[in-house]
Amino acid sequence: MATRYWRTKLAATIGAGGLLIGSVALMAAEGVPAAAQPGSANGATTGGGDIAVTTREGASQPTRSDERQSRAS
Amino acid sequence: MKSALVLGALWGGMAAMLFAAATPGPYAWYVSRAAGLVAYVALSASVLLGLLISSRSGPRFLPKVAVFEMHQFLAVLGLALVGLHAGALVFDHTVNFSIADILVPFASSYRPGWVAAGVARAWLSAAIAASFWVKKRIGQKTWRTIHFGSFAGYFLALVHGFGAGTDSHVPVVYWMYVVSAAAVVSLTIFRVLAARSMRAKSRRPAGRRTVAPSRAPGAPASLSS
Repeated sequence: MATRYWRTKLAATIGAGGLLIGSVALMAAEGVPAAAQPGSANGATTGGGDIAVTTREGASQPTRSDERQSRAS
Repeated sequence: MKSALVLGALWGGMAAMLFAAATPGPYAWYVSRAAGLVAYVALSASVLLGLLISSRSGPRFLPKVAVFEMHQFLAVLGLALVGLHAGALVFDHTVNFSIADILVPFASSYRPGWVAAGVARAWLSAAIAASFWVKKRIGQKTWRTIHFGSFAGYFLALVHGFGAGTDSHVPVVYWMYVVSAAAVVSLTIFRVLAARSMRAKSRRPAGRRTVAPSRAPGAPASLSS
């Protein structure tokens, strides 16, 4: 399976790995969105994720203290 | 050696990511989300290459066998990433998925319908990937029937990503879904039209001798011109 065009396949694997690591780094910089959690306002319905934005004036992302509180509860 | 390099990079990367997912903190959640997104990219690319092969419209500068090899490899890479996406969730404490939640559709209490679409897609992907290796045993016709499941699988992945994904509101992710879905739909329409055109062309010489007088005027022939 992997012998033919192995350079292209290796490049695809490395590219996918780079995307993966880059995405993880970006997500780690942002933190866990509160809307992703089952107890949150829209956690059990659709994939919106904007409730934290509308309920908290001026906050574009849930803060780390929000995450800690919701995880603790 | 070359195979070992590709497979080593693939499985080494997976093991490293799974190790990262197992570390304390929300890393499992990040690894799962990232793996889901990259799996979607790999599977979309595989579907698009498959459509290029079947409509016989792949890039001319690339040998057909290279396009086919990449189609197959991206499907396997995507499936490995789906495994990482699901496997990382076992270590995650943000949503608390059990192994049954990951393997059984509708078992999860977290967005059950959307997650079920992803679970069904994973099983379908596994069946399609496995069919490559048993193609000779099951025969071309059965293999093709299983392979048509890729279309359903692609749309299940799209629905799962949009509905269950916490990143679908992020503009880059949103547009990735929209652009890839538009590309798959356009190429599918092109593939259907190309197949009808090829069928009409292959029928024409025999049709002139036997069927041509009874053919409805302009029906399939209009597509072949």
